Amino acid sequence: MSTPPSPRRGIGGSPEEPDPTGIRALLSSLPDPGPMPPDLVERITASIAAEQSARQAQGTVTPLRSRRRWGWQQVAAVAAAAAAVAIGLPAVLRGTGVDVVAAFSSDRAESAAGGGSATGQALVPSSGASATASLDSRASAPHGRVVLQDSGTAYSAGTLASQVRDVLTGPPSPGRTQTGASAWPAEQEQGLRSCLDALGVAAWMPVSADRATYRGRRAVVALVQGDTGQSIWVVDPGCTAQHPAALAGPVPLG
Amino acid sequence: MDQPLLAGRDDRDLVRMHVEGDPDAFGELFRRHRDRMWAVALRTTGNRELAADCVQDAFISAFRRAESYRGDAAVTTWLHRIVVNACLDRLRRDKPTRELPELELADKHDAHAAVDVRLDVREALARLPEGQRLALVLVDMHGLSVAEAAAVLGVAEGTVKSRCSRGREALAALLREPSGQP
Repeated sequence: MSTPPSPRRGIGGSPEEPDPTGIRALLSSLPDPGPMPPDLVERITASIAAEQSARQAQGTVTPLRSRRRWGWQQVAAVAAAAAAVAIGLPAVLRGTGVDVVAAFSSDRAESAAGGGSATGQALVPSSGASATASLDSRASAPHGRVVLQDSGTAYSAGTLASQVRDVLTGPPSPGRTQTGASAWPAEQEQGLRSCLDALGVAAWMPVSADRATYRGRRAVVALVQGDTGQSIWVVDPGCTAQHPAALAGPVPLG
Repeated sequence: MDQPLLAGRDDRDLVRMHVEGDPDAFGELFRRHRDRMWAVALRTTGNRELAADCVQDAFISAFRRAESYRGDAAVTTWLHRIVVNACLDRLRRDKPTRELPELELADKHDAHAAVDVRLDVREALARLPEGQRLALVLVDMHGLSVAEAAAVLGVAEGTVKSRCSRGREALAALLREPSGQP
C-alpha cells in the first residue's frame, strides 16, 4: 500500500510570510482526499503494464536483468554445451542414450496433440534414468521440449513457486492445454525457446510453460528443468531473442 | 527485480532503472506516489472523473518521458509538474478556463477575524485565477515549499509568493461574501 498523502504543513509558509487572512491555515486543515481509488489504481496499473509490453515489443530498451546476468548465463550455457559434448558424445557413440532422448526431445506433433501428458514427461526424466543418461540426451537432443498451456492463473511474486508447483508440475489437465494461436512471440513454443535462450537457459533444457498473468500483467511463466533442479522464469509475452524481457527469474522451485 | 529490492531504491534510482529497461521500476514509483498525485489532481481540477483522467495521463506521460528527467529536482517535484500540466491540459481542453477578474484585496482591518466560510472552499478555489489556485493547492494544501512550487509551475519563487498572497486575499474575500461574490 502506498503512503497516503501527508502534506508538509508550514513548509510553504514560513514565519517571515504571515498570513493575516487565515486562509493558509484553513486550506491546510482541509481533510486529505484519501488514497487513490482502487479502480483507478487498477486502471493505471493496467495502462502502465500495456506501456511496458509495448515498449519491450518495440525493443526500445534492453532489460537490465538480461544485461546484468548475461555474463554468467552465457558461461553456464557454454559450460552446459561443453559438458554435453564431452560427456554425451561418447555415450551416444556407445548407443546408451536412446530412451532418455525420447523424454527430452522436441516432438511438436506430440506436444500439440497431448501437451498435458507431455508436460510431466518433459520435466521428469523417466525413472531409472541415470545422470549420465540425462547428459547423454543433451548431445543428441539439442532442443528440449517446450510445452505450453493456458491455465489463466494469476501468478504473484509471493506465491510464484507454490503456484507453479500446483499448475506446472501437478497432474496434467487437458483443459489447460493451449492450442490457440497468439501474436506474442513468447506465447509460442519456438518463440519462448528463443526468449529463454537469450536469457541464458540452455537449449537442451525441457520447458513447461503457462500463458497467464504475473502481478497483474500478461506473462508467460516457464518451468525449466536444469541440471540441479527446476527453476522458474517469468517473461513478458513480447520477449524475443533480440529483446529478452524477463519479469522474474530464475527462481528455484525448491 | 523483486519488489523488496525495489522498495529499497530511492526515486532517482527507480527512474534511472526504468529508463534502462527495468520492467518493474516504474510500477514502484507509481505505488509510492499515486496517492499524493491523486490528491494534487483532485484538488487542481475539483472533479473526480477529470482528476482520474489527468493522473492517468500524467503517469503514462511520465513513463514515456522518463528520459527527460534530468535529476536536478526531486522526482516528486517532477511528478507534481507532470500532474499539474496534465490537469491544465485537460481543464483547458474540456472546460475552457474563464478567469475571474482580479479581485479586490480584502480589508486589512478584518484580517484577523475568523473566516466565515459561507461558500464551499473548493467552489471558492475554483473561482480563483488559475495561477493563484495552483499556487494555493501546492503551497497551502500540499505543503510544498515556495521553491518547490516554483519548480513545479515553472515560474519564479517571487511569482509563487505573489500568487499565494493574492490568492489568499481573494479566497478570503470570496468566503466572506454571502453570495460568494466579492
